[in-house]
Amino acid sequence: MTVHARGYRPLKDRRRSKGLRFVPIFREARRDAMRGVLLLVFRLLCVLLPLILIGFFLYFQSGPLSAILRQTTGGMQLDELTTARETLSIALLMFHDWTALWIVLLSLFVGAGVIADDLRTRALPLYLVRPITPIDYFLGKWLVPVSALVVYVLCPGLLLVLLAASMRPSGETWAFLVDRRDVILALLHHFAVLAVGYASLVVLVSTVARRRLSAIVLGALVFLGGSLIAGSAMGVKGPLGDAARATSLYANAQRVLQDGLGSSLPYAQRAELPSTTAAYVVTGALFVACAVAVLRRARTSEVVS
Amino acid sequence: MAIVTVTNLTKAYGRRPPALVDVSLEFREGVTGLLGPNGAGKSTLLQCVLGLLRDFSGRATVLGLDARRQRLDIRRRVGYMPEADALLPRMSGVASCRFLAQLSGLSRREALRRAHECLHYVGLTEHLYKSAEEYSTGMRQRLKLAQAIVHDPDVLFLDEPVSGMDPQGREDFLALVRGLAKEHGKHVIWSSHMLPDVQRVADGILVLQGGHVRGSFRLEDLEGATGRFDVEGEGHAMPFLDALATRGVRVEPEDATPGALDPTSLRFRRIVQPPGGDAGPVFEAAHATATILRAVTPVVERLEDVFHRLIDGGRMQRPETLTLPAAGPGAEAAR
Repeated sequence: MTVHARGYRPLKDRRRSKGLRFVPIFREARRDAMRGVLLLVFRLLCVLLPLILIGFFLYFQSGPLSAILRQTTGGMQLDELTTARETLSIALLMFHDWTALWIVLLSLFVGAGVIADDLRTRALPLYLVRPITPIDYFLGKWLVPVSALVVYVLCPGLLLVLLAASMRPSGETWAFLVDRRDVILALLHHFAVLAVGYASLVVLVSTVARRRLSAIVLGALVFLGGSLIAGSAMGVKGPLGDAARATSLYANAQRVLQDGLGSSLPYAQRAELPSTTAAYVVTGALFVACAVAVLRRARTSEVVS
Repeated sequence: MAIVTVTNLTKAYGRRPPALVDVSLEFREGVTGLLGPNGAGKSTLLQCVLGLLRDFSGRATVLGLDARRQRLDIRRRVGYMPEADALLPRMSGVASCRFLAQLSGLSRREALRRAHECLHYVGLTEHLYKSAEEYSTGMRQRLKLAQAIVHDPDVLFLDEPVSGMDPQGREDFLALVRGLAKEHGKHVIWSSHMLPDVQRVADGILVLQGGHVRGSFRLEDLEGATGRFDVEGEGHAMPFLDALATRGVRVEPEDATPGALDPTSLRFRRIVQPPGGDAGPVFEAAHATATILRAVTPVVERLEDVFHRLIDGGRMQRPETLTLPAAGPGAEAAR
């Protein structure tokens, strides 16, 4: 029996697929955003290298990790468990510190084209005539940089926690993980703030810029501008200084991470970070701005016709 | 049965003059050509009906579904081929078709199968796996058709579908659309300003100009007898024309008949319209005045003539005062 032949075949089975409608959009957009050998090499070098180095320091309790720990404790002898806990906190903060710039660039490279390319090739009407809502389109696109950040921000942090737990004597691994569940929650919390902020910003500039390269440049300028404003607001008291410091998305995520780790380490320069409230407000506002921009764009073909 | 119904639809882009002004019309079953010069409002009309444009007044339904409230239900049952080059970035032909089929609700496996079939159907078999951005203009038009039919819609909206295609490609495309309509029962709305293409596939025509409906008719009405005859005779014209008048035959003014008088001979030529479309009185009048009839030919209207009459009439008249050439799909609504 022939199962495929040239010619038009009426579609007999008109059942709708049960999956979420934004999933195909996400899958295709992610495949497109992640393609390219150069980007793969960049991703691996920027994240894998720091992860391996810090994992090495953590495992052997050496290098900058032990130096910072000595500086923190003022040479005071800590018990083994406390040392392990503090070393893990330092390792996590150090990892996110070392990869901060690369994660910004990675977000831009991955997310800048998700909507800009559709606008460039006038593909939007192709989506709009399908039975999907603007929210499906938004979610499908917005989740692309988020998913990249899962791999390159959340997973390495969790790997470091697992590494620290695996270094415990036999039988104490689970006890350590349970004891340091606040670290896991802090990592999740940090990831949420960072991913929402970064993904919203890159998707927003992708929507506004309408060209991938323009979106990368514009996004880089916004990230840089935010950091400069935040830097110039060091020491400025009151809500204005707080709001200015919250323009750095990296600082917002660090604030949440440090809150979660509950650390008073000198490595964490708390005074230079925005308040938790400001971090949430700026991240939330960015998400809303991104959602409004994309939903407006995906609502009608008028702007592209 | 009306496939698309539009009632009092008005659409303006910002502060510019409205692209559509209080348009009411119907598209019936089969293939309907939506004709009009550039800027007539054809694409705007299609986009309003499909819900791609939202801020319009009036009402539009497709297959009985409201264009505002049941947008997603409509989109499950229609296919749209946009006028502009619309490509999914960095996707092959088969990948883009599969992806759009999935968005229409097909499972991944079924979508891939449909994508292959539809690309075969439109003649892109050799280019299935090539990036769509490398396609020629004609191939892109075919790809857009494949994307429009990949989910087996009931109604197809084609916006300038053959623009930029070579003659052979155009022929093939017309045959494909005819096949979809005649063999697979698809209803097609074909928007274009290319009259010969439309005439070859359409059953009915609707003419838009300046955001107004100028008229609508069925092509078979053009092909049938118009009740008018092109009469070529020899002899004295005046007694013959008087004899025609006494028999109730309407004679069109001389300036409406090409080459009405030959000043070098007694030959004349006039367009006449006998009562009831019966040519008998013409022969009676010729017999009574001893006029030699060289030819009596039924006048068949060409689409171009009707189109230009409607467009030219539209420039001078308000649309509601236009005389439509024949009753056809949406004629009443158009009025």
